[in-house]
Amino acid sequence: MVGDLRDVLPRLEAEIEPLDIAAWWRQLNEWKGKYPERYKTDKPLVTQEVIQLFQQATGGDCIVTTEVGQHQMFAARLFPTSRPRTFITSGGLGTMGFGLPASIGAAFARPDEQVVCIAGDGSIQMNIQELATLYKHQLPVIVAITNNGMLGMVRQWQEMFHAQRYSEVYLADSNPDFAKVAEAYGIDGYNVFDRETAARLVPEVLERRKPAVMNFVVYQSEKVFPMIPAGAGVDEMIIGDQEPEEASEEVEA
Amino acid sequence: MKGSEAVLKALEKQGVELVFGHPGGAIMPVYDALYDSPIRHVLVRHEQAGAHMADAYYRASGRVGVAFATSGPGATNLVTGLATAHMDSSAVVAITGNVASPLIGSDAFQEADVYGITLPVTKHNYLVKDVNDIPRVIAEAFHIAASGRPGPVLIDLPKDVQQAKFTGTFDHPIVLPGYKPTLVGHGGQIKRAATAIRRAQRPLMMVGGGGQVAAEQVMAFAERTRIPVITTLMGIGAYPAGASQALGMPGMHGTVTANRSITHCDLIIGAGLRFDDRVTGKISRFAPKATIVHIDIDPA
Repeated sequence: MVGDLRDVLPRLEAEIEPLDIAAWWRQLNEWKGKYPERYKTDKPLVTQEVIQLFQQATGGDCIVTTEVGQHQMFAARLFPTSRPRTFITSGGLGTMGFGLPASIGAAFARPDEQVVCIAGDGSIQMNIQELATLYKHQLPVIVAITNNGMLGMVRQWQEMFHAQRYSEVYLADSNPDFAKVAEAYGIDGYNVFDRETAARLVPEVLERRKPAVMNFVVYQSEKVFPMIPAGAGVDEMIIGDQEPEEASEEVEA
Repeated sequence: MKGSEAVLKALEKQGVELVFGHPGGAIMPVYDALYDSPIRHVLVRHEQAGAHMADAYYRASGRVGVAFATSGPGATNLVTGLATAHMDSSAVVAITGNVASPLIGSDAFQEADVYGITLPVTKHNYLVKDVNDIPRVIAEAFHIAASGRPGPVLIDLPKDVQQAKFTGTFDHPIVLPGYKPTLVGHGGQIKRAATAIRRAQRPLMMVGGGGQVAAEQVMAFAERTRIPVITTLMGIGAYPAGASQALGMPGMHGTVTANRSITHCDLIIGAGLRFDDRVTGKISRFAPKATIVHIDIDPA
């Protein structure tokens, strides 16, 4: 049906009574109960918990922009916002380098909002020069780099589908000290290596409502699950670490 | 008044308050006019970033984002940003300077065929040859960018057109006989869709980027019908993530519940999404038991 949702949805709604779908909801709630978001914390710091710290500290009451890659998927799953026009990500083209300038554009559009940019160490370097623009206008943007020293999404595919031939995905030996880069641009910069420091600093830095770059050094070989491999159907999804385990250092988000 | 001043005046008439840009030789007349304009300018350090800023400005506010760049490398630096906006249906108007008209096509300094290069990554574009066309082109550009399925529009302005004496008028009506987006849904189709929905025992609603303007209507619909709601990556926020009826994100890295619900449902109401491959996976295995009611402003 071609039309504007604002026209079509109310007219469609007017034709429909509340649906009697209790049995369907029982099934859906059973799945929801069995598969909440979960991840292991048996490393000093992992991407998922960094993102959750921001979700908890803001209550989701902020604008989120993302770069592209594993962190983008984790942000969509663990830090989804609840108001329209507040989750800003390059979905169709998947452009690395979008997130930092997007956070600036969003901050200008909505000057009263806190903006959090979830980035990876690869993506953030693609438009890092815009830290100058961020500094100049003193926008309330926190750039949260989940730094796994890798082009994580490509590394995941190489692990799963290319016999672990990790071709050209290693960044850790030539990444800059991101806190120093931030400071070079006049912006507060933080390097964070453990969860205690992360948990303490995230609310503190948010409170300041100043531009900041926080470089969280996280587990290198993280994988995003579930995953539907390319060419596979929705019913062939690999559940991976979202499957419940009996005993593990697991956190249910 | 010069063409460059007419550009700023036309932008002011569109209610533009802020532009993101980077100057250069071929767009200097516009930047000279900007110097006296109430429109604020954010100087970027790479034109690609300027395009992304204008894009996100639109996404966060619903107001058309504006980006400026000069000719040649300035304009080609916009391409990734325009393609990004194009894929995600973002309303951006990009204004680029170009070399003077007699030089076009001569491999002049900082010259590029911007019109040709950006045709596939914009909703529409213009190369302005007559200074008096400026107000009409700008009004049309904003209209095309923001209406129907939104998208980026590029306006390329040769330097001599910017410098020429403007003797035209403002306040043109928009006359685009070939562009008439369908906003009002077909009554008969709505009735047929309602019949299918009433019969469904395992229905699902999937909301995409098109839902961002219709969050109120989505919420009302979901409340009334008690239907489970999936939001795609582009639909996040169009329906509250924590709501009891929310199942999360579908697709390649979607939640178990969202993906299983797709496999087992008998009806999908697709509201403002395009069933992109990251969402559907292999098409022949996507929602094999479901009737699909697809509501979108773009018939394509």
